[in-house]
Amino acid sequence: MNAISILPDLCTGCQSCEMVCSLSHEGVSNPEYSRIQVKKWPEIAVYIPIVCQHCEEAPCIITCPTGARKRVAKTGAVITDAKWCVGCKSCIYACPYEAPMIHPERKKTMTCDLCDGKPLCTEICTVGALSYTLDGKFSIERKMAFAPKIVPFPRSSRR
Amino acid sequence: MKGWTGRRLCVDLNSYKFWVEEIPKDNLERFVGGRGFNAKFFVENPPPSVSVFSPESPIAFSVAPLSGTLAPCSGWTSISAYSPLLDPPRYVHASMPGHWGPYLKFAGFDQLILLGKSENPIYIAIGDNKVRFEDARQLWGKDVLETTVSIQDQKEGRNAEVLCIGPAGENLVRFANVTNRLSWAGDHVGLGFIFGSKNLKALVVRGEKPVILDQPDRFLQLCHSLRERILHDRNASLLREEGPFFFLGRNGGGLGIKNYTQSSYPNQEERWRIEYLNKYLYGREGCFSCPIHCGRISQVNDNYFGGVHFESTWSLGPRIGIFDMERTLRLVRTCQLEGLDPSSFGSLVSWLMDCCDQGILSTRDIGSASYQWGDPEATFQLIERILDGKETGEIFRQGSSGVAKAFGKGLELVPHSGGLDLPARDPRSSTEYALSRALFPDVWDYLQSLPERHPTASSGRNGIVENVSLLQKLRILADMNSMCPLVVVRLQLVSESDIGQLISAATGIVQDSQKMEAAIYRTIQIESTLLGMEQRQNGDPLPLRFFGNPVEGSLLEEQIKVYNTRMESDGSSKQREC
Repeated sequence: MNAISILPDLCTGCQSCEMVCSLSHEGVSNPEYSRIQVKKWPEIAVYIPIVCQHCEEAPCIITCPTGARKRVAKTGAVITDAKWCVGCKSCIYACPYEAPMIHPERKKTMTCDLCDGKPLCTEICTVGALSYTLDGKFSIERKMAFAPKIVPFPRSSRR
Repeated sequence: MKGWTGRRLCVDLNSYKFWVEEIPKDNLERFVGGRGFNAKFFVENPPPSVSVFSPESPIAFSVAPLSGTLAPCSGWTSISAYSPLLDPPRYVHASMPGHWGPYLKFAGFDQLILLGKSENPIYIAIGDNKVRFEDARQLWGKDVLETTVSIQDQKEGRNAEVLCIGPAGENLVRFANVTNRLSWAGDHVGLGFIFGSKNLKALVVRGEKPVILDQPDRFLQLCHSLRERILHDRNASLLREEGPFFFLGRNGGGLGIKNYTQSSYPNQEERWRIEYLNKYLYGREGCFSCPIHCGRISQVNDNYFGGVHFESTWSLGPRIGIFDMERTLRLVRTCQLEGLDPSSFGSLVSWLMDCCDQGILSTRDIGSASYQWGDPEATFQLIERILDGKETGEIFRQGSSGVAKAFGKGLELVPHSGGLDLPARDPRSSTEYALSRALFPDVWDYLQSLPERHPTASSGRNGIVENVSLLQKLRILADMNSMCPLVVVRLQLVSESDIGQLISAATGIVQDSQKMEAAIYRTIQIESTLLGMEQRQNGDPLPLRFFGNPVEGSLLEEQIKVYNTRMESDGSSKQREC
């Protein structure tokens, strides 16, 4: 399965990923319009980018009452079909990462679509906190290793 | 509107009212943004009377058309006010890195003007088409970290950007600063004092207003190519690796030690840099939309904190005779939390220690405390004294120039230019830098000289003047566009025409080099009016210390030593060859 791999220890909180996502998908600039969001805890110098992990058994697909959450065959990305989404936020509650966001104008959920196989956020991230990982290299074990890093906060070496 | 929002938010704290003004389209194009907008506002709206404590004294925050976009290094904010460090207060400008400016844009404004004084401590929350005046009595007395976290967690959320003061600003310390995201400060000109005098604890911004761009695809393309250029530059790579410490030992030496009685050698600076990088560097932080990420996160025991700059460590290190990085970092951290500007505080401490060392000040003047070179405990006590105002603490709140005037002693030892504290760099280290300080004291800048062998550097006596003029123009270009002066002025990786192209793609209005140049000169002209022509024409000569006292351990001596050593080794190797 393809997904964006996150190394939160390297993130500097510059929000360039949010800007490029918002610009390329919506043609405007604002973090609220971005499919990736940087969570910030500056008091302990921790920044964590959160983006859809396109889970194999995606809880958002299971819980979506209208079937709006679906997987794109070409890239494996799990996206929201705006035609069916009613903005009930079930997917947000079901997601272990709280990755889906509500579009500020359309009021429907939106998540990463992997930019059709060339995610721009991974290209713009100059510190290497984000990278595009292709099928087979992104194991469930690796995801499970990442999960505890969100809470409690990461404190491993990141020089 | 594209690029700009074209809107100015005015907030009157006397009446707790706010109103929105349209910025005329003509002004948007003629002054671009940032520093240009602020100068234009102040010249059109001169405050009726300006005294240090006048609540009418306005403060202006501005951003530019590229703020809040992917444009590299566009996360800065221009702040202008009348500085309380100067008597009478004078118009000054400060550039603040970080994330606050872009969020002002997301809240829907290009400029924010604060007027008047609140009766009780408050903080202002701007966003979602509203301005709220929130009670801040519970926050009064809290340090910068507690204030930021309390505001975010209790009411505004983690996506709100907080610009706040600490106890120093509340207690009207004139060199208090304002801090965004705990790391990025608007400092050196007394902005924290102005917040405190207005009973304003914090300014919080957030918003969903998107920045609309005229040609998003072209804009994205331009941003990509500029980012590539920055990433492939050697100096930018070093800056990315070492942060602002990169300048230590690579600037030809010359940082002031012990109140400029000595000047640093390049290898001394290098030791300071390597000690920090090896022992205390933990990670990196970046301003909004920055590909370099030069902010450093430091680790001292179990404390992790950002906002450490070589300036602040040098000012609270060798400048006051402390050569122990850990002690220096503890001092820097304390200043950060209390909302004190570490550089100005370092300037005050170095002056105080110099005066005590020379017997100019005695216990009759300063009370029981003794201030010996390199005494960290005395420096910590001085912070407490300044904050609680006991004994002579009230006097020390005035900053080095004010204290010297109050005591009537040691005036010639105050390191200042035009009344504002000097950066750590010794003006004797570079003629360009000394000339810049004398000509433009109202803009605090430690980088105003071109690196050696820089392609745009001119040489000779006239060359120095040309270089200073070029640097001033580039600095205004950066400030006018709320961009990083390091990248635009020092590394010169983003040019006038690059910015012009980005603005054209963002706004749909052709902004070529000629137009940019004209906007720069307009800003220079207006600032001259605000400062008074006399000031600009005569400049502000540097203190006598830099003329009368030859510097100990001067760079020249070091260079002679290096030359002699090289000649000896070269000579002996040549002889061996023969």
